[in-house]
Amino acid sequence: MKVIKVNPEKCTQCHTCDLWCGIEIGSVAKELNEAIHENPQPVPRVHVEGNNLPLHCRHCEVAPCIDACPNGTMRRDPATGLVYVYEPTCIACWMCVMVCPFGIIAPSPSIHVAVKCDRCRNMEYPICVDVCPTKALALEEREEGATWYGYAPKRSF
Amino acid sequence: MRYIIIGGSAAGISAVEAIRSVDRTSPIELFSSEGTPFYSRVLLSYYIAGAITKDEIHFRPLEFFSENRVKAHLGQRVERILPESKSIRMEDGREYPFDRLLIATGSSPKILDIPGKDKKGVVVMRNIEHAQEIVNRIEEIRTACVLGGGLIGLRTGYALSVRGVKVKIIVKSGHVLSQMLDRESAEMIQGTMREHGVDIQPGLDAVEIVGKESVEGVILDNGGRVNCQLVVIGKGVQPNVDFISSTQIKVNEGIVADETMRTNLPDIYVAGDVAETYDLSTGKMGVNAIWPCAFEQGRVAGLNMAGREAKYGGSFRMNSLDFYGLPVISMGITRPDGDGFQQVQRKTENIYRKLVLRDGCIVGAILVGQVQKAGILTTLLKKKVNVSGDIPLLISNRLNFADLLPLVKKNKERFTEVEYRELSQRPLA
Repeated sequence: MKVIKVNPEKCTQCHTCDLWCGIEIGSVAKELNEAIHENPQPVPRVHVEGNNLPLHCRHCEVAPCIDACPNGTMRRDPATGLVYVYEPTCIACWMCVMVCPFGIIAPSPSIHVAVKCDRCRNMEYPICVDVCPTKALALEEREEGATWYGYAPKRSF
Repeated sequence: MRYIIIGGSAAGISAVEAIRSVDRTSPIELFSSEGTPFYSRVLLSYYIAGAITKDEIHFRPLEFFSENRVKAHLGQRVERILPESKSIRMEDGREYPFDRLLIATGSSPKILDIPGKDKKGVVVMRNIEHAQEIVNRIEEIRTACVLGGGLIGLRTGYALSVRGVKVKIIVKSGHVLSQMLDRESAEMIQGTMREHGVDIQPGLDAVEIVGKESVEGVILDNGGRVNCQLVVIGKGVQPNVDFISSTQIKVNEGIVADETMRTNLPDIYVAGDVAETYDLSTGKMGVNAIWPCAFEQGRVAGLNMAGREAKYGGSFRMNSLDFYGLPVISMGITRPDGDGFQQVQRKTENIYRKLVLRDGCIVGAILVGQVQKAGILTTLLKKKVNVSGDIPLLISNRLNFADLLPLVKKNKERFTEVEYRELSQRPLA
């Protein structure tokens, strides 16, 4: 599994990652000038926390959010093991929010789904990694021997 | 290797997934007393509210059993376990042998023993049939009376209210959700529910359910009467352990599990609402009948059954609810009783946070209104991290993981998982 690794020493807190994530992934229009006027406001899946830690879903080996989800909405892509929210079935119960060790699942009151990073699993390259001007974010293979558990339906959506 | 799993809900299905992650070929037989597979009890109130359809109540697709090569025996009750011959016996006398057995039989609603409890229109909310019964009659129900201020009762009351039914909730204790909330937070929920027309009556108890064949009303201990067409009983649940009474399997409140989720007998494991495990918040053995624990316990049991070592760190009570857009999450001990606890509270309009600590470690928390970072507190509780130097951050709305990174580094022996190690490209110093 390839994950996004973070080098805080290179992060200048420029927020290019969350701006572009909000446009590319969060918005309907996919274009800044229109995205900023959208209601509900687009939700980025990455946030620069503290001084210099851009934080997204870490795709835990044993993901507590998958355990806690009562209807299989939180699941893994069987090909990659990446954890994602199957939005059509999310009932906004916030059980995943209750257990996320990083606090990165956003309970969206306006669109009534749990919102989190899926590492741009359907794109060649995650947008945040692509736009980071200092290469503080990098897409890298997870260490050897790492595995993953949890619901990974073959029918992917 | 022959695996038998008794129970087809969270713990049983999680065990199937865990076993199959190690052992792709050995036969698994699963027995469930219920005819409908993979439905989520947590979602029953959502079904009543009309938020989901009956098809959407399943947490795994119907082809799950065939894809995982599980032979499922649905609608069949296991009568007893025969540990000496390593087999189980069904009600009709058939026996099935096992090499490894998982007991994941769940829990049943506690019975309310008052006159009139058998009348038509009195339901406990546990099974899909109970939810269906309410949905079928929804048009003719003008007023419903919920007996008990627990989560199941409250969720059902909320769902009925959303469907336009007038709901009265009768709570014996001083406020609703007394198991998971303190007075302060419970009153915030009660306030929101009352604003939406739900009538909550604390400090009262029902003494009789009246009516001819069907429910017509409830008599209260203050002599008052509530006229209603439906009574929902939500007095909590108890583990389903009757069928093992003839064995040597150790039972206190639930079936006692060790840290591999094994019972006191070899090759017999237990998981879910029926299991009694070490409670990380109280430090004592206890039953925490909640979905996330059932799933985690099922995985640990399944891995050990299939020969891969796994340890269960312990359980604690936690829950999340969201009524009318007011989210609430609570965990662990929220109303400490006794010495040695420290409580920290913070309240602004519509937002409430509370931490309960013992020896510098979080043992309980309540979040109302703003819940996004709740999982960080859950994790600190679970990993028994001493947080005494970070309380101002933990109680504030600026709580975030990055600011806790020094604490994570200081406790790196508790944060050994790859997702923590790789967060920085260099190893955590």
